[in-house]
Amino acid sequence: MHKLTINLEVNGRKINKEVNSHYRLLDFLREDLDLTGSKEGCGAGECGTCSVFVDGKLVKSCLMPVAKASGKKIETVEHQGTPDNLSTLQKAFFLTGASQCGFCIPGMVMAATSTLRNNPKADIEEIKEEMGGNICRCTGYQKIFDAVELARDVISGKLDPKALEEYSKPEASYLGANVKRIDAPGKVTGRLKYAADMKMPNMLHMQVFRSSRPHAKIKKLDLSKAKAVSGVEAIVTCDDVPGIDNFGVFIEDQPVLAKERVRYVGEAIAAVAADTLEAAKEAVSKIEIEYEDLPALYDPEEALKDEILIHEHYKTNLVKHIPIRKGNVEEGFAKADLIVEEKFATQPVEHAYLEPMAGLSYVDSDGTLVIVSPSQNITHHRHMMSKIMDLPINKVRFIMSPVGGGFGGKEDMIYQGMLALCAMKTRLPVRYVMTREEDITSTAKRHPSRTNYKIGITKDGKITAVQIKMLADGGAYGCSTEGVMRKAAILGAGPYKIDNLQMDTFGVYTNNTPSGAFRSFGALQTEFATESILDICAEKLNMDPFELRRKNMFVAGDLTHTKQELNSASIGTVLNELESLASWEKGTPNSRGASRKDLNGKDNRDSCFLGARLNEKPEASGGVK
Amino acid sequence: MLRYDNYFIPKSLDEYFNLLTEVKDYRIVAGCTDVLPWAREGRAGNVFIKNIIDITNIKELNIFEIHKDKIKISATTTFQKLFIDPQIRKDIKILPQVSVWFADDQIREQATIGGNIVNASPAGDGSPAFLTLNAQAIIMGRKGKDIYERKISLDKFILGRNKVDLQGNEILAALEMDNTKGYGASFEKVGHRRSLVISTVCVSCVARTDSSGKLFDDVRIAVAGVREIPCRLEKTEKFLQGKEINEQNILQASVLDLDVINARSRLEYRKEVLQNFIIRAIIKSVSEKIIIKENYFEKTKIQKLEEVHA
Repeated sequence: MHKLTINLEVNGRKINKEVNSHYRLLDFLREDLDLTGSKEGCGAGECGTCSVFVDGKLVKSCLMPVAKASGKKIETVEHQGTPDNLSTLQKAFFLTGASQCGFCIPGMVMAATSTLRNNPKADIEEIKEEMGGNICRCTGYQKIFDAVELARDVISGKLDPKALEEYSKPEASYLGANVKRIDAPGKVTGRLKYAADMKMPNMLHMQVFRSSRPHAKIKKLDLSKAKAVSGVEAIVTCDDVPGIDNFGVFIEDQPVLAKERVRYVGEAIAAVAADTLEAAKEAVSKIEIEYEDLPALYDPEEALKDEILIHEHYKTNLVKHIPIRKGNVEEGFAKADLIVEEKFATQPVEHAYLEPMAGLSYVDSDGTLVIVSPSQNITHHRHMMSKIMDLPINKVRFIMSPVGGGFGGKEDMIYQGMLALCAMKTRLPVRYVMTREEDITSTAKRHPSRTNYKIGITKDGKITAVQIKMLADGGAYGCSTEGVMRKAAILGAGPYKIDNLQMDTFGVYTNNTPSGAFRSFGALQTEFATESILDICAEKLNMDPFELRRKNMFVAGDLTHTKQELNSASIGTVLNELESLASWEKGTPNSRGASRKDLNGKDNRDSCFLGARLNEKPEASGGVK
Repeated sequence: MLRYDNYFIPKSLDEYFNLLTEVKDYRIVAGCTDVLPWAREGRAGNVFIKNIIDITNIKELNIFEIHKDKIKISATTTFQKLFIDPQIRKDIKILPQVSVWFADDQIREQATIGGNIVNASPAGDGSPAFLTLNAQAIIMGRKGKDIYERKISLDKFILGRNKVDLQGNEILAALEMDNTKGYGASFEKVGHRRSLVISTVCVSCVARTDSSGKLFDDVRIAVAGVREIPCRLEKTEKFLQGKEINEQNILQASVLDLDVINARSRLEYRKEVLQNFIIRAIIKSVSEKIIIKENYFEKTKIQKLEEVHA
């Protein structure tokens, strides 16, 4: 690899070093200086997890070739404070609970520092505008903005610095109390090591060769040119799996690496471990493959016909059907004054955690296989891994690294098997860090759904019967589909008393990207249909939507759709709160309210504009001859 | 991943032109905020270019001149410079306005106006603003040992998607633009979010009234995001020249150039947004001196448009 010599100052330290000429400033900071507080969330300048100061100006270090940084002064998050000596801003982030998963936080601290350096009196609009290049997935930003405003007021002397220590001491309950988040100091200072930040001596880098076809037989896989690349230590395929090459959370249907056929675009076929990332990438580009394309399925309705089978040996594409029967829907519909039938659909959704998938695997001195990854389900992963690797359970160890946001996306096991195979084959530590693009292409998504809904209701608003049929696209492998179908069925009809209920949820295989766990785990898709159809009913009955819901809501003592007795029910409180927060004016869902208190009210945000830092108001700049 | 063997940072034009004759397989860069995201999966993928030539340190390109009638600024000027420079903020108001909508503060510290123009993206934000300032592209090249300079108006310099009029070893050196002291300005943009977003539609407007404040004197409007090459709205501008500033005239003007839209998708949406942006941009550019009788921002413009047509 070509090198160049750079002279620069990093966090006050003078450095003269030979570096890979194609490195970005971010690579240099992370790989050569181990300053891993600067993260790589996207590598394309979109997320701001890599923000650093260059000669006092905040830039995204993923967009700066390291050669440009030569002769400059660099300041990273590591220079802002230490866990035992936090900066004012870091203390404020700590107090307001602004650091949740923590992955965006070093970048946020840097952007906030820059904002207050540029204008110590910045108002909230300026703060929002200037921090607009940094993305957070956990907080919804409010706690971050609270922290910046708090720090600003302390710095300007408006607030006593003691305000930064005002944690409450919970006595009776932790609910509603602002307790110290003990992991925050490590996060706000960028000291906490996520999987991609970890490094071991002689560590190899893994890269993955993926399918470009949705459904095809692998006719030929030629690794010879890839193996010849200098620096390549091992290439693993399904042939390297020592144990049972079938895993899954509910159904064991997934090979670690594609076996004989591929079932979706982005499916892993081979993994390369090499001494540098560049060598691993080069080797992947030299793998040769021949496919025999098979007819593919993209539509879950088509999948139900079983004309094309995604997993032939199952003889069906149905992953799971969950039925719930309560009362008699025919009788219920007969009692109804109004019957509404509608169709609803939802799309696949990416979790978009800020930390792309990453992991590190090695074999311990006693032969124990160790996998470090931000897994949300390590015990189950450990059991699966023991079967895959044909190792007794006590020879498989999973260490959960800090999760830089999961939202369910890190619950299904995705890449840990490949890492383990590489570590076992080479007996060297192996690290794998996905790019954002690779992560979005290959990891599980929220289940796209289609729901057919039929509801019967009396003219005074009592639900008499509900019939729901939801079809979900599970994608190429089972992953969490079964559990998602279960939750969708159990919760989908909502927190309402329904004497006659017929609920069916179906998850099917297609050649789309696998669907997996995602916040609410299936309930969102069916409940979206339920709440939407209740609004349609309220409109047709000329009834207030809150009133309609109150007439049907669960109260303590009621039986749920699966006949569990409720000790308490909070839907009434939730409805009251919602009604007041929305400044709702009584009326049907399609009426707009007489006084429109929802418009221009205190809880309403101004329409979107930029220019808080410009001299003139964005409404007028006025030019005259 | 972008890989290269050499990263050159020439310090003079001579050094730069010499490099172009010495090395083969090169790419010229400035801020690098486009080239790095380009060399990733889904776009160009893994790219190897033997030599990268960075033009941001060429001493002859260090130009920043503000004269009474014209300004001349280097192609390597960053958008953040246009956002923070006090003189620019005071006199050429369109430049800080376009800058605040351009990417985000951090990318603006690196991204250059020349890079934005030479990239010639149909959705580029800079060009429509420069067009409203009657920008001239100053191009430098070297024939034998002689460095020459030529000037071409920006609308002729941009030839198409990712295509500009640079011949041989020529480089876009600077922009010469009108000093619009006394003009109001407005930059309107919409995309999927507020910061860091590619324009679906953007409109740049600079305008001033006559001394009475009742008539339009000079209105210049340009659009991007809706067609391959950004352009000025000539019919709209001509119509407004000397006309009284009132609702009827602005509404009539707003429909005259909607046929410039030639986008691949969401035509109706773009048309509706473009018309609203034209109306809003005109009003904002002259509104300090006029009283708008009704609140334009709360009305449905398209309905009014139909009345105008009738």
